[in-house]
Amino acid sequence: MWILALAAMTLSAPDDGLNFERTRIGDTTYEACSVFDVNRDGKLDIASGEYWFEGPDFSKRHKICDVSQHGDYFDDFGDYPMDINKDGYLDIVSGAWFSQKLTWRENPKGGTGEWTVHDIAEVGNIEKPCFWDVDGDGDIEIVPNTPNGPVRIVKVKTGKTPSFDVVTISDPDLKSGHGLGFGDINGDGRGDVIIRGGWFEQPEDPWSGKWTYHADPAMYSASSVPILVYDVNGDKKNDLIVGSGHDYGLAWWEQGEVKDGKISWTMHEIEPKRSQFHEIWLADLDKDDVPELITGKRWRAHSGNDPGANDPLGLYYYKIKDGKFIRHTLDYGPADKASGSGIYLWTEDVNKDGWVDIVAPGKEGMYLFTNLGPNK
Amino acid sequence: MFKSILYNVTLVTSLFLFTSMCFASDFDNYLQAIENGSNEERVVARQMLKREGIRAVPPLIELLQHEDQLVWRNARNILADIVNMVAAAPIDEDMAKVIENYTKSRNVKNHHRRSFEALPQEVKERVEVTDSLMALVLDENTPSHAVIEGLRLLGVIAPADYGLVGLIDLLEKPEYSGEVYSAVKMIGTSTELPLSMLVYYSFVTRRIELVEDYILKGGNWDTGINLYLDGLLLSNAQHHAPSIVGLARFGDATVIPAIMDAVKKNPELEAPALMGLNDMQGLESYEALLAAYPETSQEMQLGLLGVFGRAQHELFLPLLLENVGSDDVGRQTAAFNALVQSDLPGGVDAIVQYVANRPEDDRKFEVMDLLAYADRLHDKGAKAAAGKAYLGLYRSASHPDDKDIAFQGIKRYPSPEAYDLILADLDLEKLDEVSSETLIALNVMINKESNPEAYAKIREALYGIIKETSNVQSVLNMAAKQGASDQFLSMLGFVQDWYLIGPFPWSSAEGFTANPVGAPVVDLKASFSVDGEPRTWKKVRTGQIVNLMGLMGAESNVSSYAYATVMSPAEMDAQVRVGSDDGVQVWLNGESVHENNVDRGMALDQDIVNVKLKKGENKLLLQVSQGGGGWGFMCRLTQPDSSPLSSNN
Repeated sequence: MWILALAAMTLSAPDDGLNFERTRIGDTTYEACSVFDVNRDGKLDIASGEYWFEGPDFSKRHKICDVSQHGDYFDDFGDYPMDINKDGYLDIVSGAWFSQKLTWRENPKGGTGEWTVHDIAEVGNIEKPCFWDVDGDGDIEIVPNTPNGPVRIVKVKTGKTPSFDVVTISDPDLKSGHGLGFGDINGDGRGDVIIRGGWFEQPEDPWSGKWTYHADPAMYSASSVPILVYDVNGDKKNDLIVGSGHDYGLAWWEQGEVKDGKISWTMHEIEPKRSQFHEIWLADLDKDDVPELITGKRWRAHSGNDPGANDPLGLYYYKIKDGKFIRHTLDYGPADKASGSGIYLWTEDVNKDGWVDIVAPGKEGMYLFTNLGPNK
Repeated sequence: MFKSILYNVTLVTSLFLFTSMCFASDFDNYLQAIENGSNEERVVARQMLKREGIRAVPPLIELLQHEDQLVWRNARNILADIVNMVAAAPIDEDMAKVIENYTKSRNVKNHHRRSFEALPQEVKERVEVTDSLMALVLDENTPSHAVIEGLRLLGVIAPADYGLVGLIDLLEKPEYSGEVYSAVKMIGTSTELPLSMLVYYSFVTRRIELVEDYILKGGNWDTGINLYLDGLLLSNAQHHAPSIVGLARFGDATVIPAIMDAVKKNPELEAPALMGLNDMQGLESYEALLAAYPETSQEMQLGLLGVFGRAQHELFLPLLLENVGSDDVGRQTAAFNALVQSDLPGGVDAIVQYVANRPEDDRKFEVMDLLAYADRLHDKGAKAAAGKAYLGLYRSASHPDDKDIAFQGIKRYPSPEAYDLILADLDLEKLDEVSSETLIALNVMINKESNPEAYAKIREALYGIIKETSNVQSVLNMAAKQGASDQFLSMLGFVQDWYLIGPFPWSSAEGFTANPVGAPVVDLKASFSVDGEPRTWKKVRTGQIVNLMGLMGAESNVSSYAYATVMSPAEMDAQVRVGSDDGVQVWLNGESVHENNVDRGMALDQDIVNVKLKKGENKLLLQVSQGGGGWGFMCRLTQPDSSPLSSNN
């Protein structure tokens, strides 16, 4: 009946996308967050900066620890859950630009007391910490993007007395630049590390072997963190999806043939006229087994000084099909009305209804976008 | 289009009757009391009937339709109590599915009835009460007060997955549409009638409000925008203007073709479109608007020029300049208004020209606009453009007050072309009446060759005011901005030619006791060693500031020496004025004349030392210490009355 009615009225709305319900979480303006069960009550909670918000309604918040503020920045560029001390409660690993440190915050076993902060390593200014299973052993490694320093991988030995091995895989004097990704470029089954100007090929033994550097593609001078490795056009060769973190642009670089020992790369623009795609992520929102690209504007990424700083902010997901990115907009508008992506958004089925939801932090506030499934 | 889906009232009612138990007589008596009883009997009946639960719902619904207000209000109150109790029944996902299937299929066949029967009793009750209320509100014979009350109760009790599609018919009746919205909003998204569907059928104001709510609620921008787009297609033309405003206010570049298309079809939509477009922001949208501009009507283009001016984006500047310079008066005016309301510095020449071209007796408003524009440029810090705007204002204004404001602005931001004007305005014999600010500006800008007489007088007047350190600083600041520092440094007494040596280890605690270079004797050919590194004298020509950090490196706990010779035509009393970061010691002709072991930032004339210069060459030696951070000094010579001694070292 509805189909008939709609046809008769020649109306197109609602669109073929997903429905979301937006909820502001707390009044914080940290740029990173994560979703995990902090207190092991079986309900997912949201952690962001100094606080965690107790699920399922997130109205009650608990202090984690102090986070220093620098202008409109907070020294908290990631809040990744990891049980570092193996006590059964997930702790939080963070990285900071100003303190130049990777730290872990010890979960007081789900209690409400403040969390003890432990240093992991001092690695210089951290644009954002990334978390990948680099050596494929099932454990997550910490890979901080340190634009002014080399590429380092931190191997975590969890346990009562945790330890952290910092392994430098690039020239120790390298300034690796803004942007970092991980994934198999050359199809050898091992994940490679991508920086804005090229990629490091993972050797057989990532901890003692030499990571050979391959220049290209150049990408953006301040490329997104992460740079995503994904076969966009289905040609069985992984491509790169990259945002411009501090300028206009979102694009994918198509991996072409190898010629004279070098891979050819072709850039395809996705969003040349929107800016500050600092955070990009892949997750299957519509349950079609194909991931969607989720991204938005990191509002005030350089405190309002980036190109396009005054343009509207937004949060989008893109259906990826045959090398095309089809934009769906969740939010678009000025910062008092719309949400951007922050520096570290999180996708998770927060309410366990089978649909992956989005938590988008940022200087404009943190929002939970509850995925209600497709429009009908 | 939709006619009522008839609910089987009999079936539902019979279900209730089936589950009803005895005590019929009391029950009936209470119902009677509501209809005909005394006040006391009604009070008792109200208390008792609500305890009967859903059994009381069918007869109360009957009473709700009673024409006597006292009767139906009492029935409504009891129903509300029951509905609130029943609505508390929780519904999980599986139950919701069953309810959804049940409501979808109930008027077709009853094959889902069995799974429905398996639901917990309280959930069934909730659905059944909803059924009865739906039957009530959809019955054409129900009195309107009962429909409204029924809708209110539905808002409380209907489960989210209950099919509400039948309510669409009521939306077409203005007296009910509001209640339908409230009910559906309270119930939330329903499978068959989500809010987004509902808005198609609403009346103009309601629909627009709902779409706006939808957009502002966040998370569903696409759907909200599509609803506005569809609003443009609705046959009721009253939807079109508010839809186009909404599209322009909330939309991005993708909605611009639809807006332009609608405006082309119906020029009456130009005004609302332009109103909304004032809120549209972002490079992407601006480029799309600019691309759409040539295809729009003359009227729309004039309006868009205003939008472009308010956007304050450089992207629109070429188009605005093109229009302000066109032959078409309408375009000129629109583009001028756009430019003058912006704070785009690049518009200044065109704006000034436009105002100047207006007849002198008919440019009062344009002059006012120009004044406001100039002030905005000033606020924005666009100094060169502000200077031009004030100059244009000065030339075009006729009112003395406007001229005065303009002149103050010109003096604040002097531009080369303003000098003739200021000079013409000046009485060279009364330069002492001119403010220091103007005098300094004139000195910085005036051209010696083109106007030697004025140059001499103005330069002379400057000597009169540069006894004050603050004025010296102003001259330095203004000259630096105009890139004209060099000609003033010597005039202001700065020593610029130095021999430097360092750095040598230095400790603040020991002060100036250590003497690694044998001061005050200076041997420019001598070489010293610090940790095996040689230290020799190096000649430098500096600006007002001798930046030791730049020349010696970013060191801490060190000091360096600076040596200069100063020629004096005669023996005379003088002052050595030093600013230093950090401490400083001064020798003149081999004699220590000043020592200040201090940790400080540098400023002009921090230490003033009275000295006696001898005729001919005088030897000036400074030692400047560095704890940490910045490191440097400034040194100038003046007469005892603070007038600068031109350094001819």
